[in-house]
Amino acid sequence: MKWITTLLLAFCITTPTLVAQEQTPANQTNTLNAIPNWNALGDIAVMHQGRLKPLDTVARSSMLMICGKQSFKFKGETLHALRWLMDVMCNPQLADRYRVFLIHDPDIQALLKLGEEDKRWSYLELESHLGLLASQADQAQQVQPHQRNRYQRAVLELFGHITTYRRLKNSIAPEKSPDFGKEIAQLIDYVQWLIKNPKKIDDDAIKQLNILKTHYDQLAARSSIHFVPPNGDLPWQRIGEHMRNVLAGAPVDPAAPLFALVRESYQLGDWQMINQLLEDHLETQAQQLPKIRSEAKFNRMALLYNAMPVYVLGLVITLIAMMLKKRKLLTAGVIVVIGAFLIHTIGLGWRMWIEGRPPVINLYGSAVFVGWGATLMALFLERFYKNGLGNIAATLTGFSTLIIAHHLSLSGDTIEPVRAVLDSNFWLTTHVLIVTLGYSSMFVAGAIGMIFVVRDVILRNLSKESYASMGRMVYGIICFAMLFSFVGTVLGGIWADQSWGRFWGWDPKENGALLIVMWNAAVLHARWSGMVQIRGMMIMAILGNCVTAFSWFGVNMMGVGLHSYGFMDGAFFWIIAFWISQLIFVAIGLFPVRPAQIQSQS
Amino acid sequence: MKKILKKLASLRITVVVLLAGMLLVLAGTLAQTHMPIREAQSIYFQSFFVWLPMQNGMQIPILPGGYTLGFIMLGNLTCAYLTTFKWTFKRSGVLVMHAGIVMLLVGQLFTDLLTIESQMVLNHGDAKNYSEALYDYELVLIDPSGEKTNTVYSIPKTKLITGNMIADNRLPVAISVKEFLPNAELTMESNSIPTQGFGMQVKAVKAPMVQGDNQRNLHCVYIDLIHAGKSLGTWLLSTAFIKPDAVIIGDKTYLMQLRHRRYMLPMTIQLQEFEHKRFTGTNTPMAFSSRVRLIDPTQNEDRIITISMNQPLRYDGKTFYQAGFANEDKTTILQVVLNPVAILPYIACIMVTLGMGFHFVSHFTKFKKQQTKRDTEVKA
Repeated sequence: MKWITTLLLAFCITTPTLVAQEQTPANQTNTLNAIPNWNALGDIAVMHQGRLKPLDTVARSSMLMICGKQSFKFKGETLHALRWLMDVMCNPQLADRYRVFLIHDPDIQALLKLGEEDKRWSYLELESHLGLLASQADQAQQVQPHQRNRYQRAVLELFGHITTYRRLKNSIAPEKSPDFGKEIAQLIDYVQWLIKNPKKIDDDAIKQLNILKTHYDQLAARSSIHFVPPNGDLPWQRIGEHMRNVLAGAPVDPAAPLFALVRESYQLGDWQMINQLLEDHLETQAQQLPKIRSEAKFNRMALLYNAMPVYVLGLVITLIAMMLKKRKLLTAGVIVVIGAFLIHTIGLGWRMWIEGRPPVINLYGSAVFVGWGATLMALFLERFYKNGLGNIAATLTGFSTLIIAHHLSLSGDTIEPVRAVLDSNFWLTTHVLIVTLGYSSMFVAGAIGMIFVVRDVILRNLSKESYASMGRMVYGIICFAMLFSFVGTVLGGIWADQSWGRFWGWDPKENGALLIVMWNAAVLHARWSGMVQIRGMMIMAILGNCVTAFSWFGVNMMGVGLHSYGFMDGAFFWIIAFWISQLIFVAIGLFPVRPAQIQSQS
Repeated sequence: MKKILKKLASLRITVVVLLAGMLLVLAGTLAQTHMPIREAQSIYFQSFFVWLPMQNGMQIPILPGGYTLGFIMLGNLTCAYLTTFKWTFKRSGVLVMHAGIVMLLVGQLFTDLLTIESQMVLNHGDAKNYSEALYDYELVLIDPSGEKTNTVYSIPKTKLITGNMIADNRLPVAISVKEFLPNAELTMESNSIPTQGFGMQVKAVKAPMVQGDNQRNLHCVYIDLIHAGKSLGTWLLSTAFIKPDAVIIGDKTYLMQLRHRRYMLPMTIQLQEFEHKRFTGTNTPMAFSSRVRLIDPTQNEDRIITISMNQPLRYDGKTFYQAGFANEDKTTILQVVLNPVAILPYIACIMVTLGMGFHFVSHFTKFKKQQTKRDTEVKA
């Protein structure tokens, strides 16, 4: 019965996050007649970058990418991502003044003569330098991706952000169009008149139609959000694309005039009108696309982000409990960590349901899942040993992997469409999840290794019993890591054999996985042969963290090989920092002092 | 003797070999940033030593290669089983696991030695009854006078060396290789060296060899044909030429061509349609697949098949994978793999997994019992 109580208490921990944390954007200005209903705007379903998603996701992922955060201050007022996106699409002259473009690179700041007082700049400030930036980006583009230097990558990144921004600006209407609604209403009338009076189609009319066709083709090319839902044979269309189809005789979809009107009402701040316009649209949408609203809610609740402080709370309580040797406080710490884990689990499961896929389809997913697996394993350790160590390992791994996930989310939408090579739920479930669990267990073993060397060498407070029991812990986890890594790697080989025609191809990602297997085999054989004792095994477990980090992220930074779809760029600094931090723990472990427990006996 | 075997069975050797292996894998991985994967494979993994070229042209071995480490590991394991291993039921998991590892290593060696990879490049509507090697080439003389089949005389690449004289009773003609160019840049300009054939209009300038995964060398060769003691002239042939040259030898007309080595298939494969779907508004491939018609008169088969990513066609002991596409999605590229030992890793992996699983689970149960005992002791 005790575990039911624990679980119930842990669930209580989660409630503040689950209930109160839904971050509804605060009521903001420019209201005339009604309360702004930002949630309704966020719930609009659109097709963007190959995936059907709520407008809220487009706003958040674009803004995270460009700005590095989900809200910013303008004239003392905090603006959230959706507000920003609506301004970009509907009030571009205003949005151009928002300082959102994050420029880290000192060389680019110098190139654009921006000065150093700020890291973020507005489109208006960058606009006069666009020609220069474009020519620099063009030069960088000629260099092979993995040969580009930091400056070239930064130039391309900034240029990409500007392109993204400009394509968002034209997503509903041409940015400078004052009343797009009227324009398309006239166009629709004209086309219908031509259809009724086919004799009127003369040279002039054809010329006129060709001009219009070019105009809408250009609009389509300059925009990125597909607002118009599919109809018959036509897929999701950008508004320009749709108007082009209307010119060719396709029926008009109500979405095109509707969003033109929303744009105008937004410019006027007429929320009553917006709410009215969206009501019917969202109702039909909710019936056809039930997951969209749920995803917007998922974004607003930010469970995976909010689990982080709970993990930290758990860590603090556990550390205090261990220092004061209070049994009950330790139990409280465990309950808090289980609570954080529950939030983590709900976030993970919800995300899976939204994407309809196993949890790991990209690096972001792997970070969330590695943390989840590691926390689960560490909590099992806690259940076995009840000494607080599992709890510390759980909070360390859970917190740090969620931090990594948060930083990975800065590169765009974290739920991506799955490429053709990866499109197999069977292998995504078996191979990817098992390999990822292998990473999890490596990190748990490494975390315990770190705790061990700190206690054994610096604090010198290890009793004979905990010395041995930590040894057993790490030994057991490494056995599991070995099993997971081997099975996962092999399943990957089988998948490769099925789809590429070779079981093993010495591709960087495969080699990374092989390194983990070989490292585990080396640790276990070294332990059996007596080459290392308990502390030696701990040091090897910490070094295992370095091997795992290389396999997980390092090989992706090389940007070569068949697996390079997981490619990532800027994290190089962090992986080096991580390696150095681990080597420091190794150095502590190598410090020539005799185990504390032996000393206390003598 | 037993003493030596025992020394060779040492777990220390195992650990050292594993660590050396990690170093090798790491080096072979990092090398791929500046060389194609195929080259890295042959330098690091399919070799006995990794050689470092010195400035004076000497080469010194810096790391043991994949084959050396594989053999040491096999030897170490064998010695362990001959001497120190305890043959009990409890250890049976370890035995099965190690047997699986041996099978994996041996399987990889045989895969290296026996696998034949080739490609089938099909344009829309094309039908072919052969696949082509990616890197291997041959000089062929074709006698098209047969009723149902042609007689093909094939000269392998090993004979196509500058200065080589190829004379064989089975050949209708003797061939003198004047110059072989491993890679060349070709331009449409008149060329005075050849006296016969299409090559008279093509200038070939020697170019450095390329090694990239997606780069191809254009091999070229100048040859003299000698019949009945008389030279018939000089030809320039290249793997870039699409059509063969017609050559009259004696009273017969032959077709002559330098081409990628062909592997004949018992069946014909015709590309009916290639489909490439992308995610709306992006270039990310969602799916690509080839609808092909397979005609095999020997088996009396004629059917339509779709080959797609993760769904290859298995036929005639070979596997046909959807590997790529070209030419604005009008051409499909199928990878054809013949690997007679493809089943070995599957068996090996099942063995290792079961062996390791059995061993660790039995350990874990033992550990859990002990832990419960320790717990009760603490409480008491």
